[in-house]
Amino acid sequence: MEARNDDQTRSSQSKVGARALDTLSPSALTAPPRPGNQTRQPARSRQTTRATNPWARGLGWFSIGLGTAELLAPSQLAQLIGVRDSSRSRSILRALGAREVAAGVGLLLPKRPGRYLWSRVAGDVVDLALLGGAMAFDRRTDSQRAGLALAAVAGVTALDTWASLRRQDEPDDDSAALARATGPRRSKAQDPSVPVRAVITIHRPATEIYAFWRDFTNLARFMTHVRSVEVKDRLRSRWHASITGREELEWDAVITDDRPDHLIAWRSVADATFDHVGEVRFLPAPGGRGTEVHLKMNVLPPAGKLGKAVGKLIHRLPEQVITSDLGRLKQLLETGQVMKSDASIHKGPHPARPAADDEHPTD
Amino acid sequence: MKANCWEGKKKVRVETVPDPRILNDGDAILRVTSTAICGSDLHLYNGLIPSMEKGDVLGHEFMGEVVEIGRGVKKLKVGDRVVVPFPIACGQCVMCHEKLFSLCENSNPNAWMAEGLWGHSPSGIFGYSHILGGFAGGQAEFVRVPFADVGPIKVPASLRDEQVLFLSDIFPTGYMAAEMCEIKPGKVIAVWGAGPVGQFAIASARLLGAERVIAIDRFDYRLNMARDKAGATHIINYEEENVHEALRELTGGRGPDACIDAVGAEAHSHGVSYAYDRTKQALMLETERPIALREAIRACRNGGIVSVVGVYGGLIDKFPMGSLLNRGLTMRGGQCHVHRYLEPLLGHIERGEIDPSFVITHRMRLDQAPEAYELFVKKQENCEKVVLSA
Repeated sequence: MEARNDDQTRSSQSKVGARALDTLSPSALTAPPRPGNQTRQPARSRQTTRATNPWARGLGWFSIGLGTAELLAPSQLAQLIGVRDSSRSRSILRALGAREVAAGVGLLLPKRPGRYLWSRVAGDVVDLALLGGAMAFDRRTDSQRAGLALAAVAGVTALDTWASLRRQDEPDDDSAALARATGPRRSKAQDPSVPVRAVITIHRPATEIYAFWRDFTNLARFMTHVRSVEVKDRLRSRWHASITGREELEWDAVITDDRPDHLIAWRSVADATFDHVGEVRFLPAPGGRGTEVHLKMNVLPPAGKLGKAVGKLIHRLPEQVITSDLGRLKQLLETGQVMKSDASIHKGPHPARPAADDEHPTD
Repeated sequence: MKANCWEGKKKVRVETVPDPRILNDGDAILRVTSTAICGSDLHLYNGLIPSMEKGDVLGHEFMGEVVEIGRGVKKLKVGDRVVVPFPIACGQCVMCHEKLFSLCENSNPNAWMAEGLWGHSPSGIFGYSHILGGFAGGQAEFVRVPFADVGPIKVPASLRDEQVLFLSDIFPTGYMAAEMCEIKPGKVIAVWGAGPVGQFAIASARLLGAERVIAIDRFDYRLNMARDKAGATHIINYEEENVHEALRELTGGRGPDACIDAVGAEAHSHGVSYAYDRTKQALMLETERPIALREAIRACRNGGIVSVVGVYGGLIDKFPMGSLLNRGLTMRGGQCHVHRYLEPLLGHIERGEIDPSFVITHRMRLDQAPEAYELFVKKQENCEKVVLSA
């Protein structure tokens, strides 16, 4: 039931919101990446091989199975593949087993399986070399069995290589190596902008949340890094943010789409220090639970002197920060205030005990 | 003011700290008249719960007199005598509307930490780590109480502190444990742990009409209290008897209809399984020792209910999933939604159907807190429950 609701929500989302991000991207985001920026592309947390590439998962479990066998039963395995069972071959097999298990675990982790696929290919090459070496230089090798093993490893190598290459066609979180690869989605893979997503359900009607958000001056009340927002006219606003309390950022933003009670989309104007597009959508939560607030931003880390400051902003666990921001929005709208605890009123760690007069925040 | 602070593993100290202030409009400040040490405070004391910081004020079982209110407070007045539920709840979110107060969506400013560890965040809790909000606790002379119109319940002057203090946690927690067992006449309930929560689970199971209630512990003084005061019909000392066999014997081979785990993460046992879990815990391969929970699952009758109120914080090992699935068990658990039990349980106390003060074995002063923790954790002087007065 939940899943179905979810699907419905998603399809309605794509109808309502697809235009906002796809057609309104500022030119900066679709332009070729600036030099040195490719490696900045961080994890797209929702894009995982779990969902997109069952082969990577299959190979992951295969790695763990084979690795465990190599670790626990090297003698039997040596016999099976026709290699002489000696303490040397056993230690080599155990080392290979440890590598297999590590690669397998890596493949099953949600992030960056691409890297582990390539590590499997590299491992296959090592296996082929070792087996080939054993056949060529050790007369005690059972050449028939070893030949079969060699053929099997070669087959797996082909599969690994195929899976690794195939993975490059997918929108990926991985490094420049993947971004450089050719493929139908090349331009997307090279897009150096950082997607930031957050979502929360607020037990208030969409009208109220939309109205609160549409008055951008309110955003400084719940967004950690936003100090203030000046609304210049119906579409334009000027934003002031501080990141660590030291770096100050300012930028202008313009509303690109505005559908009362449903959606607000915006982007920073050209040459903004915080170069981004964003949209917030308000969808009814099923079962009368209020409104689902979906916030999406794509942020382009700039080159140049302010790049470092913005990079810090983006890389400081952005989704966690934005999710916490939405949590505070929820507190404001549901309870009237942002919830404070003895520890939370301080920047950075502080024991859960009342603050002394001189360390009390003023707001 | 004076406050009992966590200073590190196995170390608490009464310190002078700043007085609390109103931080949100819905806050009240209480002068604490009585506060207690909870069994779950011992998990903090033993360093089992992550995200504690040196200097945190402890304590989530407390009551007192309102001395200051925020400008948004409507129901409470200065001078009111109140008991405060240990979970902090806003009263406005969907969870609060569904009376799932310990799952309030707005009271944990550190929700992101809890989301990382547990997937989603429960409510904030007084004096119980930063993952649960970083709120100063009530083992202090004064305490700040957020959402003062939602949580605290006024108590009549005719009842002493000792009779109503445990409405803050252990009485409702024990009651909810029993309620989750869907007790009807004729039911047999087994309760692991005859600590304070176990005592109230036993008493509540009887209040709800269970026919037999079996208490399981290793200390005779606790088992005797369970039988003589809480109303257990049978007791099992697990150091003397095989629990599984004893339960079969007491239930005609069926097993109890419902089993309550009132032990939690730091179970004791004799023999191999204790050494096993102790070792795995030391090696950080699991964070808890779920010995009582495993035993409760195995012992439960086919199709029965396992009700968990003992506190767990992380991961357990060797969870008997096969037993749970193949025998159609239902497992339930939770931090108590205290708010929804306050009025009915205060009613039981006012009508004289139960006097919760029966669990108290030690009455001490707030500045004796370090000594009190030591007594309680080591079960010295037959310690069952310590109440501290400010």
